[in-house]
Amino acid sequence: MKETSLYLWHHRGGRVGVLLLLAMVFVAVFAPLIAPYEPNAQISGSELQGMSLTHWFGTDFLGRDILSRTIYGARVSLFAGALAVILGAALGIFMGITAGYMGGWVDSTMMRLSDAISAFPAILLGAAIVAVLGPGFVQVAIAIAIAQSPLFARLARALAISEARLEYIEAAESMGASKASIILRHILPNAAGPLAVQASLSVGIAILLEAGLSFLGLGVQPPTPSWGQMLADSLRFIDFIPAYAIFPGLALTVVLVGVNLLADAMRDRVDPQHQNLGGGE
Amino acid sequence: MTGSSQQSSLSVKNLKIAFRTSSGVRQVVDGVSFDIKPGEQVGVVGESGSGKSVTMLAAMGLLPNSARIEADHIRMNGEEIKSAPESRMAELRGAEISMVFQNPMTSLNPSMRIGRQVQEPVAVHDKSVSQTDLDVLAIKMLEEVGIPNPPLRTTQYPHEFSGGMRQRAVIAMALSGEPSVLVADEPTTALDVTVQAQIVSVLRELSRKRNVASIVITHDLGLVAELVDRVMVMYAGRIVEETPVADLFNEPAHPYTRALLRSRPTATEDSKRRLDAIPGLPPQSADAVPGCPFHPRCEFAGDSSIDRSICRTQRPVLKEVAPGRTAACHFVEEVMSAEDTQDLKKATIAQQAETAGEVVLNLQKVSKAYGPVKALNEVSLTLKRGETLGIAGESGCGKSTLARLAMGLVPPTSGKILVNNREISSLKGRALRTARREIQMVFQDPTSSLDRRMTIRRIIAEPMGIAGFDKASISERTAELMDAVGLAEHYLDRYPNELSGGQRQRVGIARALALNPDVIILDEPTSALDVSVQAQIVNLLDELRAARSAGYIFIAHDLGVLRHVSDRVAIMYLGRIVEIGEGDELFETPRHPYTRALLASTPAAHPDQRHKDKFVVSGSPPDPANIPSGCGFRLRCPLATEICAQKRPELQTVSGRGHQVACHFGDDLTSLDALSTLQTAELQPQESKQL
Repeated sequence: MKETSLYLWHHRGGRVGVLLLLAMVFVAVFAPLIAPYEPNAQISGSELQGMSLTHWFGTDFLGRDILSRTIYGARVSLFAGALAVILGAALGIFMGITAGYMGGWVDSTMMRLSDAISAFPAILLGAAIVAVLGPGFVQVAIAIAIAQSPLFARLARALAISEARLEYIEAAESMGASKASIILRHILPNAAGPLAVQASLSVGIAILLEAGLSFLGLGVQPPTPSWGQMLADSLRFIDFIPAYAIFPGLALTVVLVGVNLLADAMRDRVDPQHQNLGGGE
Repeated sequence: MTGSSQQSSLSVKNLKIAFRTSSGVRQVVDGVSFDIKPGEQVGVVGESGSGKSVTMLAAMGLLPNSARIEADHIRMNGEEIKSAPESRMAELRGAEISMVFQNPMTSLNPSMRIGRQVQEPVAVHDKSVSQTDLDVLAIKMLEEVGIPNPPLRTTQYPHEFSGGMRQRAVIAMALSGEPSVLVADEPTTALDVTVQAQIVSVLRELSRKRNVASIVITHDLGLVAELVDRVMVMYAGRIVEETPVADLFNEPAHPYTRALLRSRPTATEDSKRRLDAIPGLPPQSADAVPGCPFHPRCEFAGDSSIDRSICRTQRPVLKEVAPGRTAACHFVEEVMSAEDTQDLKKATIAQQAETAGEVVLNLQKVSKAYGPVKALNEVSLTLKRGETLGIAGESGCGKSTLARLAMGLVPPTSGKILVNNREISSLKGRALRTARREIQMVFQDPTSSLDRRMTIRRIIAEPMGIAGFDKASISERTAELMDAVGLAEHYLDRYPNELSGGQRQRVGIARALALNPDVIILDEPTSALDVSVQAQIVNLLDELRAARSAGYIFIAHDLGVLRHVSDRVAIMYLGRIVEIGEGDELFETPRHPYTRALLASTPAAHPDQRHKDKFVVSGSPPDPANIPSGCGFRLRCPLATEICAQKRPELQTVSGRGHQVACHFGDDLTSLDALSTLQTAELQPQESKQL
């Protein structure tokens, strides 16, 4: 673990990613201290203003400070992204590893289920799940988790199959180890590296999906600020107050760039063929 | 410089190769020089990490960019190629120098017809050759390497070829561009014994006929004895001895060569002597050891009685020790005149058979089918406590299936498996898992048989944890086991990748011993190891067999090792035991033609035996999904008659000591003895149907 963090820090892209994400997490955690205004405070008479010294990023159509709302929006984005990936990874890895190691009908059932999920575009599936569960933060995370689980399932299955072929699994079976303990003690730890890479890649997608669902009005409900929702609101005014759209969009971009740089560094760490290419030493 | 006027096919002077790695620069080859004449057959012998493959890859310009190559010169047919551009190297490869790789399963393109692949070296170099000419060439090449029915075979894909046929195709491909130098990197290591012998004769005949200089890279001294004129022995990135092949075997000049020769068991040797293992491990890089790189493992480097500090401080250079022979050792004369002390050291191993106890494993007419593939057919055998049963056979003979069945990892299709007189084939769930602890296994590949994310301590403790031992007894037993397999205790907190192959195999053995099982199955436990380490592990197993009261099943394709370790030996072919008996009797008077073929195919122990008439069996084992009627071996057997096709021979006892054979001619020793005088040429290649 310590080695991995050191590697990420020495990896050129990895370091930038770490710094960007740390900055964003800092902003999200300390939002009440950093934000100049209450995110939901409507300052009457100052609706739809452009950038100014009092409102650096301008104000929205209800007269709320866009800078403050962008800062608070980081909480929703990061938390939804993380929660969705944790749930999706847990579900997918469980399905995939069980399928890959047990084989037979377990494999067919799990994998047909995963194929069925991945047959629908993620945003459509998310919308359908939210339509059933009702809009809201946790529902969105669950929807994204389900939509992402096939990615984890397929990777976990492939890893489990190649791992199960190795003789040490047979050795464990010959000691009388149960299937569950072989999965937990042997297969999962050895598959962890590539799965962690997949998880870091998925965080970016999850954040984007959350923004998309919120943009469609299916995510976090007003007045809680979220970047996707802010982008949706800004659409009507994009011609005369571009800052309204630019700053939530920029924040989203920064997070995604950070996550992807980190994911690349993680991949380099796990895949020996990529090692050293990022300047890691 | 040799002073000969004849131009060398390949000449390398003072080659040095270093790799940049994350932990600094690692010197892998340090000052290697050699000259290879046209048509000469040279062997490069060394263990993994000795730099033998890297040296040849450097000559071909095939090393990755992380390699730093320096040399006074690298000349191919007189042309300096040391700093030749990649485009020039690409022109030379295939046309002037070509390579045969170790594993024919991966060195052919699976989605390209064999004919195309054989033509490729010509097609890429000379665009003007017409497709018709190329096709003719491909057919001619396949014919030359002994592939039957070339016109059909050129249109087939690699998966339609058996392993031996693929390696023939690889050789055809390497030779089709008419190179002057052929490099063969462990060309027979991935093949079955009877097929190895075929490939050796193809390589030998073709390189002579075409006057190609061939360089055979190998760890197998037997292959060297069979194939080459001159040998270069490499150790730690340097050539330590270079000599004509016969001298190498008669009178090795370097202590390392001498030790290598003495550490291998052979199939023709009857005594169960303790092998002379080379202590320690080869160094990691060429400059890791000051002075002579071999001195920490050398029996001539002195002990407390004599001062040999020169070995520790001064690096010996290659010097001429006899005409045409060089060696890098400070005490060459002493090594060459040293008595063969083998007989004195003949600390014979305690005979196990006499003390054999009750039956611990009993297989009764056990069969296993995977769909149409009959992996095992009605195999019956017993194993007593204290006894070692060796099992030999080629791939697909069912020996691994037998191991998996005995361990209860897969259920048999029919028949009974009794462990300690309890039938395990009917057990399920927890009862089966508990019963499995009575049989443990040591695996072939010490790398994949250990969980790379666990420390050695956790690996050895795992079976005991599952069996419910308490913490104190686990740590006590762990220390005991480490001691038993000869590993220092500080290794307990290391990870498998920090250990050498031999050390990892010791860990695998410790783990198998942990629960004091009644049966231990050793599945090719030494075949992934270097020669010098193999002897260490065989000796360790000898000690354990003497001390522990389990029955051992030792699966191996190396008949030398097998004869050394086994009390009884079973020979398997196509899922059946075709011959079984006490080791010495079986090896001295083999009764099955297949046993004879296996023994004859084993590489010679000495180059003098090379041209002896040999019974080289043709073809390769048939597909287990499509077993011939009657005797399974009849399609490859020169003795086969009508009856062999009609009636399957059953195992019959042929001697008082339990020697059994399944052959209609098992009693006919005259016909069997006549096999060895059959010329190879008389045996038409009747290739078993692969389609």
